[in-house]
Amino acid sequence: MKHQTPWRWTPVILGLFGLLALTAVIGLATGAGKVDFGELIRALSGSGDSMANAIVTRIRLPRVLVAAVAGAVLALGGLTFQAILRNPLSEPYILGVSGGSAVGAILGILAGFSRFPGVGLSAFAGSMATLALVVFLASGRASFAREFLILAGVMVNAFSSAFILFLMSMVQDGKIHTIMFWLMGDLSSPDMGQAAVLCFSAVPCFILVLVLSHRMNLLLLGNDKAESLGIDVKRTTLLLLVATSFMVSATVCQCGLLGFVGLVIPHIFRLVLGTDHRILGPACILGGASYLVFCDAAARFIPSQGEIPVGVVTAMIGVPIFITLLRRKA
Amino acid sequence: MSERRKGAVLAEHLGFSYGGPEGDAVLSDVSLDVAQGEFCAILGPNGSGKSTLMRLLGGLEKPVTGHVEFFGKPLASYSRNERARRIAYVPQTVSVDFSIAVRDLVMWGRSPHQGLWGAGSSVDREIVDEAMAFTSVSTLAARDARTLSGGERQRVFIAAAIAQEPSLLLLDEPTSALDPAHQIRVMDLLTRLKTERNMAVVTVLHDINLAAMAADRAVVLKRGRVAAIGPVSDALSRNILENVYECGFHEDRHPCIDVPRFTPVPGKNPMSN
Repeated sequence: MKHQTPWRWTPVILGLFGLLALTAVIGLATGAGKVDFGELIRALSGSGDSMANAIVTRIRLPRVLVAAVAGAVLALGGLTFQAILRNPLSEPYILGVSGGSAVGAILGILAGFSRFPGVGLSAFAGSMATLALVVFLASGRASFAREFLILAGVMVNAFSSAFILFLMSMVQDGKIHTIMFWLMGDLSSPDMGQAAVLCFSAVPCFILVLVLSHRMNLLLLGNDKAESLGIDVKRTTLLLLVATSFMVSATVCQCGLLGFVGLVIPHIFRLVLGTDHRILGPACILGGASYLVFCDAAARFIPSQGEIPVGVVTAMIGVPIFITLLRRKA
Repeated sequence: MSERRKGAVLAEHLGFSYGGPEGDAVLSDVSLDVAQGEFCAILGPNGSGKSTLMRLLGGLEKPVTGHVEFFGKPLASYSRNERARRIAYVPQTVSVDFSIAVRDLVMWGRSPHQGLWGAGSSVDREIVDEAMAFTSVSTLAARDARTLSGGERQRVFIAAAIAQEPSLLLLDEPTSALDPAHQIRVMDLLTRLKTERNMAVVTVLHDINLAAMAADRAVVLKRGRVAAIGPVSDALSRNILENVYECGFHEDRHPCIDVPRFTPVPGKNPMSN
């Protein structure tokens, strides 16, 4: 207990950086049904054939980047919502972001927009509209009553689900496939431009959340105690809500609804590292990124043709890890 | 009262209602002052406005009418952080349902003195160690705060409040969940804080005898109004208590120390006589 300084966290951070580097290499080397490190090295050094070079740098690299940023956003988003709503079941979509963006995206798909930027923008508009609605409904109350926020989010999501099913029952088969893929989360086919857009949307939010991470600690003590320690609870909550929802929406636009990462990664780190958001924040960013990059590689590697939805892999790997940890700690 | 009393907090004609001026009044026309190095107890039945008064004194809620002065300046003119460096507040219940080492929790009390990121300096660590020694929780430093008993938890939160280095310490029913021995220990702690550190201590208490033993002054509230205020020897009397609590009391002297002692008398309702 001697070292209370942030230095005690250095090994954790370095370890997670190492993990992210490792998973990124695996992700870049993984193609349908095979992992080929030799090909990766040849492509990166420029000595491979132009076909292999193109696959690694034009297809796999943006995909690994998007997976990394999406995993980081979802894990950090889950952590933030679990802290400000003080509810362990919170995930990044809890305030209606998933429902709102799904409605927006499906309307975009039905209107015949292109995958990017058309559907992305309509999804983003949908999620921002829901966020504005939920925050507006909650803002009349002292310090945003948490139960109210959660209930408003659940209701918006429930209404959206009904609306989505309604829309899906009205359309012809061709578009159902696109919609289903989007609802299950889809990391396929981003280009470097899309990866860059996602990075530029997410990184400022990361910085804001990390800067406010000690305030998230104090919020855990309850509104009165936090206020008495000098925290503007209402403003801090609003800032965190907006920053988190913004980066989650940007991610959802790009990748659809990737479930589970945002729920379980923060819990795993909380079990291992304890409750200090100054380390949990960076850990979720690096750990969430590594996790999704790895799961995406597995989703491409396991089937010999095509790929399985990455959402299936995140749950199938994450649940056993989580339950094992929970049992050991309990 | 001598002229030399150095006022820490002064409240004048406080009125408060939830939901603005039209709401039902929770407090009306409450005035009080507490000096440095003074222990003031706030008493009254459930729902008489004690906790609301504490929140107004701590600046967590703004009065609808009247005003609070803190060291000669309006409390509202202090910035959040200035206020947090000088007033510590220990709410009635702080639920710790997350894993955290006791020492880290006490360190969080230093936040108003630290930067946004709460990086602890060696001075912070010394103050935290000292605060934990003061409330005898040093041996619990590495314990998970969820596993503490009620008495330990209360002393940990008082340590966190001491680490905040306030001039005014507000505690909302610090003894309500504690056994008699721990109640006395907390009172001793608060007495030492006022004498050794010259803190102004304001505490909501349900136990009249605890207040009579430990406090210098008492404010007795009834339905949001001050029913009695002054040195405990004046403010606490059988007549006042029977009127405020609407229950019979027997008054005698404490057998060991020179303070009054009050015992509720069953079946006797002074208001129906």
